[in-house]
Amino acid sequence: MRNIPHRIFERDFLENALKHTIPVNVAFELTPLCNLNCKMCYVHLQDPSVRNRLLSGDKWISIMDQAFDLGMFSALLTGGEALTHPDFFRIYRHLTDRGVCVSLKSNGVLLCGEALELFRKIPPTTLDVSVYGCDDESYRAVTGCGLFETVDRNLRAALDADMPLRLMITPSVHMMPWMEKILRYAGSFGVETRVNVYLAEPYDNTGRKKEDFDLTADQIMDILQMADEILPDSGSSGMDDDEAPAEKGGSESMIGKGMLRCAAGRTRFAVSWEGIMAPCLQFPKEMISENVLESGVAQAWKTIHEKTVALRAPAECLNCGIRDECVWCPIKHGHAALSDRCDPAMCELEKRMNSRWRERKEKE
Amino acid sequence: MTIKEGFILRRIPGMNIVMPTGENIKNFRNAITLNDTAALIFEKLQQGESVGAVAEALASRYGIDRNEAAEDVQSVFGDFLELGLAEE
Repeated sequence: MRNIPHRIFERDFLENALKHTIPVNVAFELTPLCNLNCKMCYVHLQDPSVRNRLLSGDKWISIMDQAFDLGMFSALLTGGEALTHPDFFRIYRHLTDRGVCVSLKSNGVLLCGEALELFRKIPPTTLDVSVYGCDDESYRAVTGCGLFETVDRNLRAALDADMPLRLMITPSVHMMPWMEKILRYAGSFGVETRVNVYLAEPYDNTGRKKEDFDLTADQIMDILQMADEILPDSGSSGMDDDEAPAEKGGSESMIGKGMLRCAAGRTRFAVSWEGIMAPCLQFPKEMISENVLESGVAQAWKTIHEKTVALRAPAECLNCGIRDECVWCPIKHGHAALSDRCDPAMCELEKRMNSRWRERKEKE
Repeated sequence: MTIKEGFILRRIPGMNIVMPTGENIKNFRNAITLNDTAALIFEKLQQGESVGAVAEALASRYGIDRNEAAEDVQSVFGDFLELGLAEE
């Protein structure tokens, strides 16, 4: 029996999972439906017929039980808005009854009533709530709905209830006029805030295009600089845990050159609302995907892992000046990745993000 | 000597981990890693087996003396008690 610091446990746990190819972290995109209509969302669908095509609670539970048998320890429930899935509460209880650490990504609109009561009794491991504005006007500009007061009230209630709250900010051109105010508003909660500057290319059937809401590298660096000043203690970052070079998913010596260096497809996978497994949530399904409803989770995971391990960065990366620092990721390179190329704008951003990451590490 | 309600032993290749379940998640935020011997003891006690039966299983599995096995079970159970996993 060992009593060890959590950080050491996490490191040992992930190394063990990597060694044995255990999918310990799984994301479930329960629905593409949402009660907001964010202009930069990569998944939200408005077709009402989608409601009839959602996987039922029983179907999701069957998929989750199969993932549990493979060694899943943590489940992320997301969407769309996960809380709008008709069987959300049953799914949540089922997972926690099996001892799975459940995290939730939400827009906060429904974080009240029955949901808050349930989370008081059985707290999620992490409750990530997206903040889209600092007043009704900014909320309407980004999400199409003036629901600032509702979200604000729910966030404060969640904080009072001692929820493991974390705020997420996803800047886009639509948010820019209010950026500083939004960062200050998020900072007023005194909880960890993450600034996600990597916007994903929306799925084709959403009708949205990244070019309509994307930011330039200069804008992104300005936002991160602002976040560092306004949220110095909140751990705000342009990089998610997975994206820190060679930290979480394993170093180049462990995994190999020119390959994906994050945990996707090695110790984690995601299942979309249609039952399609991919190495992670936003991973281009044209590159790697398997239908778990047809093949079952175990077979799909085997195939996803094999294809992920075989995946190589584009040939142009091999001679690139930042290749040792860059965490190449098809999500970041969008349509270019589908043609086995890099998006030059993303390479420029990566270069600057890596410099920033190094500076921060040196300071730490 | 029993394991409390609200815990599950997860066995994955290379690791045995005890996790809280359901409403116990609010009270017990840690995960506990067990070696194979402690995991066997945890599992048998959770199945409602007596200390004698657990010691028997341990002695049989590892080819050790039954008295020695009983001492091991008592010692590990003491750890479970301290960690809040078990009750007398």
